[in-house]
Amino acid sequence: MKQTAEGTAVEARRLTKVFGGPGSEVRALDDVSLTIAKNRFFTLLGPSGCGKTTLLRLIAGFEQPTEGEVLLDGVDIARDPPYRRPVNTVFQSYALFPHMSVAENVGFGLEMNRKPAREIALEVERMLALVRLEGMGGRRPEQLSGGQQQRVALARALANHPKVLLLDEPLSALDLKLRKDMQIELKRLQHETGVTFIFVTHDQHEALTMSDAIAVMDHGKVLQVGTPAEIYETPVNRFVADFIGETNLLPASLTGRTGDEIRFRLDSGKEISGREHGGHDTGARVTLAVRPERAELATGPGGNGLPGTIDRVVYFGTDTQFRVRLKDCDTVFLVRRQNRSGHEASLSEGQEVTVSIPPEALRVLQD
Amino acid sequence: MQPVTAATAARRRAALMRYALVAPAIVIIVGFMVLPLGLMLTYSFLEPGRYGGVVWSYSPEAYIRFFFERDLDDSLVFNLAYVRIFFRSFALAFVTTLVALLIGFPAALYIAMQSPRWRNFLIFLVTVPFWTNLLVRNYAWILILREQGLINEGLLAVGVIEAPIRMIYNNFGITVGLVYSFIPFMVLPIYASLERIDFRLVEAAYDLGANRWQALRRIILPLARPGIYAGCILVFIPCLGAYVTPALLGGGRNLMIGNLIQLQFGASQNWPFGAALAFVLMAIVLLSMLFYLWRFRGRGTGGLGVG
Repeated sequence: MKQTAEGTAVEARRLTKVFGGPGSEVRALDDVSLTIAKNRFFTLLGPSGCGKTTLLRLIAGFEQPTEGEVLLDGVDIARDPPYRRPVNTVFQSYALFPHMSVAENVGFGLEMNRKPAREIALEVERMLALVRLEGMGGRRPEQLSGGQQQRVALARALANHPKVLLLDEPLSALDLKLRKDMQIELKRLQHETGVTFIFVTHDQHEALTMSDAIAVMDHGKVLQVGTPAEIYETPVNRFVADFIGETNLLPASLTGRTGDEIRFRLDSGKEISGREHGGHDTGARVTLAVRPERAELATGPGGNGLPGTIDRVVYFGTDTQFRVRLKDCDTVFLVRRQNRSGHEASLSEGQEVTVSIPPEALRVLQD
Repeated sequence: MQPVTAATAARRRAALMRYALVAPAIVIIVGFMVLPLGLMLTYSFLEPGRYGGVVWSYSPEAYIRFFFERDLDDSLVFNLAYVRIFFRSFALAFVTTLVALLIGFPAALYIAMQSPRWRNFLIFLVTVPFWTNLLVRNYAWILILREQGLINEGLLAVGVIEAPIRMIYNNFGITVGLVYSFIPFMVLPIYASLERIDFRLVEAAYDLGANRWQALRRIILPLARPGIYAGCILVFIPCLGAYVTPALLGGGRNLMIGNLIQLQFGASQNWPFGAALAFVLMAIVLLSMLFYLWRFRGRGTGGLGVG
């Protein structure tokens, strides 16, 4: 994290949200506690149905929690209606008012707060400039492109100077190029305005590149909270490791330790050693995780290695992915290699290789 | 030349096909609109026959009669009796439309906010009254509103009133009957336009600080406007020509245009005047429709489309 916290913007305390009546209950959020620091780009990441949007809607006030508290600047707002919360939302579909001009859309919140017309006009100008839509105030939303509508939605939500800005998968409707631009744009806006952004996405790339902190969610629970590097390098469990980036998962048992060397036996019978034991004792069943870019390929026998055959070579531009079928078990192991000089095409499909794993690249996961 | 003739024949066949396809529409328009209206227009400029029917000689008398009365010495005197009936009809239709809107809009909004299955059931309920005859339904209202009716007996029994209130054979009764008869035509188009509103827009309005009332006024009402206009027209126009309800609940004393026209073709035996009245009414309605189209043209209202 950049600096230590200047304070807490939003805190969820033991939040539970149950939808549906008895018999058809769905626990969208299950006893979630979470602290979001001020002036951060905070991301809620998870697959669809994990509860991230429900959490956002509880903070916005569109839903009431079944149990628990939502604290904003230390005050419980869980029962306040949305229009009394100093929180604004950028909706997935933008939800721009089709019967109003861009300027009327952006000024709507200020108008609701009974600001004088001259002040509204000035603020609208300022907001449109902030999102680089100068001179577009007279247009109708339907006359704008998807990216421009997105910017209007941002300007409208920021015009009220909220303490927290909620963004519900705002980039999902944009094409890849525009999405990349908007990612940078969002970071810039967060930096310039100093508003706490809470961003919901199911896209791990988006989460990793934009966030100061990420909360990974699944089945209504928060599994891990940390910086992008923490989440990626030291995932707490199998789900997080699997969801964020590519991961090789190897079922194994812990066979012993000597000094700081921990030995594992894979189901194929091969032995491999690592540096961490994840709190497990000798004889325990564990899941080992190795990131594809941390493993190496050798044509001869390599240290701490697993023999196998190259199944497929996939060229990705900046790097190349090798799918290696491991000997004596039906596991495909992914290895990624940076394409530094262009001479690395020496490995080809069908070739026998050894996947060499540095001991410190081996993670031991809870299931 | 062989190919040319073949092409010509094909083209001729295609043209014939086109005519054949539009023929049903033309038959319907001519048979059900042009002919009857043409006949009525013609009749309105003829002289009345002694025992109904018309005498085939030109006379503008029917239109003159709308405003004037002939004195014994054949001089024209202003007569506001018919204009007054028109005015009353418009006033009653206006009040009916207003009341139908005040009841119909919240009803449509409520229905539109229910779950889809429940919504369809409620819309079905709105249309249930159409299953029975209009006359029967209006008689039912007589039973409810009359002096020994449900309401009066109830109020008397509870002791709220000492003498029955007069609720039929006056404008109140007519308005109640008209609102009841035509309210589905208000609810359905408003519901159709409300149903299409993305309710996330309402959430967005709340999010930006609008309370319920402001969200209704600034977001829902403007977006439902096409449905509201369509509903008002669909209630107002048939109200103007209503016949059954004023005849039954008005007790024959509070005439509306529909009853007046019926009288001309019935007891008064003055077909040209009846036809003229119908045409004056139609002209007013058409002009107001043109005004609507001109005023709200190109606002995505889809004309008067209900669905």
